[in-house]
Formats: sequence, C-alpha cells, structure tokens
Amino acid sequence: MRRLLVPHLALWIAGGALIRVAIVPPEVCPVVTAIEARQAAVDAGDWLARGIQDDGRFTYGYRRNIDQVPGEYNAARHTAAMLTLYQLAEAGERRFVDDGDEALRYVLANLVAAGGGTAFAEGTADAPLGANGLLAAALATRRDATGDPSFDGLMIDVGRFLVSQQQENGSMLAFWDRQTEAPLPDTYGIFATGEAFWGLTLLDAQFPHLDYLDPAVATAYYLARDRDRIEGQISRYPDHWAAYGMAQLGRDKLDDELIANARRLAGFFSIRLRVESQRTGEGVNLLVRGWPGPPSGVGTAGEGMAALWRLSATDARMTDMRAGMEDDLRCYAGMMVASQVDAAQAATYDRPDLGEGAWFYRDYSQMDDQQHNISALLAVLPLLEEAP
Amino acid sequence: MSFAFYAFAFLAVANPFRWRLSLPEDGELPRPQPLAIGLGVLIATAVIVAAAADSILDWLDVSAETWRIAAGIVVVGAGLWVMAFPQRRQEASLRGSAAGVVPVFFPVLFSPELFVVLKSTGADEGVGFTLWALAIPVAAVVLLSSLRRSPTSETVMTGLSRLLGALAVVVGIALIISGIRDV
Repeated sequence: MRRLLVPHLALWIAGGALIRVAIVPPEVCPVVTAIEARQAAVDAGDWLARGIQDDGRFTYGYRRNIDQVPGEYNAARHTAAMLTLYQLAEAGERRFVDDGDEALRYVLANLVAAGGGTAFAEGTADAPLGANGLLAAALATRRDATGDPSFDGLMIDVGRFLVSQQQENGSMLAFWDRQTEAPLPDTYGIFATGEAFWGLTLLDAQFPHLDYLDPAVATAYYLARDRDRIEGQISRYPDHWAAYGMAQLGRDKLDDELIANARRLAGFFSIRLRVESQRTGEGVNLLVRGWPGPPSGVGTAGEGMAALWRLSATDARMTDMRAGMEDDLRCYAGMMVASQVDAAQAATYDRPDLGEGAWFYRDYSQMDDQQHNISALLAVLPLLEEAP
Repeated sequence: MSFAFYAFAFLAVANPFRWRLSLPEDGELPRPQPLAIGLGVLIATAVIVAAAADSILDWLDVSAETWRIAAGIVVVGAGLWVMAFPQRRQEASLRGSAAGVVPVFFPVLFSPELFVVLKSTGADEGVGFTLWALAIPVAAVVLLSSLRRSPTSETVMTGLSRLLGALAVVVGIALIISGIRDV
C-alpha cells in the first residue's frame, strides 16, 4: 500500500509546491489608510516640485546608484507631470497650483500655431498630439482647481489642434509637421490617441457649447474597434488614458460596445496589478515573476482601474466588477505606499532631494514614475476613505 | 462563466470514461460497493473543498481569478497527459469495502486536476453550483458502471477518455483566459 500511495502523494506535494512557487505566489497587499496614501502622493508631488528648473522643466530622472541625472526630456511627460500637480491642488493641496504654474511657463514659452489652433512643441520639434492632449487635461484640471479662466482661450486653441489631427475613422495622427504645416501622415503614438481622447472629453466638460464631444466619441470607437489592428498591436493595448476618457464620457455616452471595451481594459489592469502584488524581487520569486515592475507601469494600471471604478459607480453594466476593482485598488495603494522612498532611506543617497518621495525601478526613478502614481493614489483616496 | 461551461468542464476534467476503466472489478463489472463508497467520499470531499475554497485562498493570499489561472494550467497539463495515456494502469487495492477509499476515491476519482477545479468553482460559484456540476460526471460513471468490460467497450472508452482529455485542454485554456481577463 505504501508503494501505491507514496508516488501519488509525492506528485501532489511536488505539484502543489510548484504551483505555489511558480503560478500562485502570495499576492501581498499592505493595508494603508487614506491619510497615508494622500501623504505619499504629496511627497511624490514635492519630488516633482523640487525638480522644477528655471525654464519650467522638471528634473527628468535620477539614477541613485551612480548619482546621475539624465539629460533627456519628453514633452508628454512634462504636461502629464504638470497635470498631476494640478490634480494635487484639486484634491485640496492648494500649494501645488504655483508649482504647476511654474511648469506651465515652459509650455507657454513653446507654443506654435498649428492646425488652426495652438500647440505645445518643444524647440524646433514637431507638435506632438499626446503632449497636447495632456496639456488640455492639465488646463481643464487647473480650471476646476482654481476657477481661474485665464487659460480658457489656450484650452480652446489646443482643442482645435487636437481635432485637426483627427482622421475620418476617429484615429489621430501623432505629430503636426512644422515644415509642411500639416499632420504627419501615417504616424500614430502608442499613448497619444488615448491622451488626446481624454483631453477632448475634458474640454467637452469645460465648454459643452463647443463641439468636442463628437470627435471624442469618434475616437472612443476607434480605440475600441480599430486601433490595435491599424496601429499594429499584437493584442489589445491596456490604455489607461482611454479608461480616463471613458470614465469622463460617462454611462450616457457609452453604448454596450464601449462598455465591453471598458470591461476588457479593467481585466488588463487587474492582471497587471495582481502580478505586481506577487513580485518580491527576491530568490525564486525573481526567477518566476521578475523584478517588481517599473512604478510608472504599475501607476498606469492603478490610474486606469481607478477611472473605471469611478465609471462602475454610475453604470450598472460594470457593477459586477466593482468588488474586484476595489480589492485591486486597495492592493495597489498598499504596494505603492510601502515601496516609496522615505526621508530616512533618501538620506543615504548622494542626492536625498532626488530620492525622497520617489519610486525606483532597479535604482532608477523618472518623473513619470511619480506622476502616474500621484494620479492613481489621488484617484483611490475616495475608496480608502470608505470603510473597508 | 455559465453553468453549461462548468458542467462541460467537470465532465472533461473528471473524465468518467477514465474513471470507469480504472475501477476495481469483479469479472467484467466494477464492484458496486467500493464505487458507492468512493463516490460518497468524493462528494463529501467536494463539499469541504468548495465550502472552504474562499478561506483557503485567503489563507494563501491568492485571488480567485489568479487561482483560476493556476487551475487552468493544471487542467491543460492533465488533459495532455490523458491524451497520451487515456487509461490508468491498474492500481493496487485495499481489500473489501476499503477499496472504496484506496484506490477508488484516491487516486482514481480524486485527482489533482479535479481538486483545483473544485476549489476554483467553489470560490467563484459556491458549493451548490459546484455539486451540481460534479453530479454530471458522477452520474455518468454510475451509468458506465453497468457496462461490461470487453475488448470493444474498452477500446471505445479509451478513445472517449482521450477525447475528454483533449476537451480538458480546451477547458484549461478557457480557465486561463478567464482568469487573466476577469477582475
């Protein structure tokens, strides 16, 4: 009998151990409060604000192991970080309006006439769609946070530029060419379309009498139906900007096809967050799960899920996902608060000011690591303020 | 996922044809008492596994969706195994009615792939749903127990066992996709 049972039991035990280690490592989700999450967002906002230079640009990144600040820059990340500072202000951290306005100076110094409107374009570069979509979002957020109409004209002009980049099928070309003074044909940005889509939805909320809604809806259908095929993605792209846009459009503008796309996106964000929660970056787990992912990537999943969670509050077609979304979002917030560099850790770096409040991926932190996670943590606050 | 899917999944994963071919027999028919005992223990075990599924997953810090992915991977592996080896080798047996526990309940009826699916279904759908789905292969093996073993019936059941192994691969893939896509 022993001869019969031992091989079977050995198979169960070995198989169980293999499954535990390789397929279902524990999903570790530290518990955090809304106060802790808000403080983490503020600390990361301070990282961005401390890095604003004389020309209004942010410190792009920091490599802590060799004490190096890279020289590169990115227009979309600039407007996204600026947006994040206004989001902090909108969430009640009013002092960040001034920091956002400091960053806005760089935008105002780099505006060009484009597409019958105005666009932000660094130096002599072509005008990028995505950066301007996020510029529209930043200015709309600033308007909500301050009530100040000073930049309404710029918002409308940027909106004209965004719409001018749209094609008949709802797709949006990624650049406006300075030389030809026309959209650059057949160029798409992996994030740019979603960024512009969201920007248009926010412009519609600011200026409902202007026609931003129809272009926004056209792009929503393009993202749901055609984007991945036309733009050469091998699978549906987990686009958190599209999630923002759909949440902003709201249930009345979303038919079942768009809701199906929202549900698919929620699935992508969920598996991303669940896998992240399984990563320890140590021992055997490192072999089967890899390093804990780039904070910017984790943040985008948090942002996307939080946007769809807001949508699920008003749309019964997503109610069944709500509990799972909340589990994922609480887990996300716990992970990110736990992994943020605090003052004591930063004090051991050559540049503590470039460490405190940041999230690092293998010794490197970049402005979008902070930006995405600030946005996501702020979006999760209403959930964390509820009783668990 | 629908009840139809789970009914199909339990049929493919439990594989009553493979069960039937592995039961201890008196002559050409399975011994009824060990089979009844084995099925009774299986159902009791299924109730416990399905009822405790949420608690077990909580204890393991694993979400139901992630467990569904693991279950799918196990089922795909088991399905491939069954396609290659549709009939178990004859297991040694305890004497008398104790044969209902070894080998009928374990290792014949209660397999790793059935365990992971019981736990996944229990966590997702609850005990009652799980038992209704399990009732389908249980009823099938009860019906098959009246079928005499002959060269022809053995060939047919071996082929059908292989077919259910292939369908188990499909079920496993569906579970993996569902676990990846669900929130």
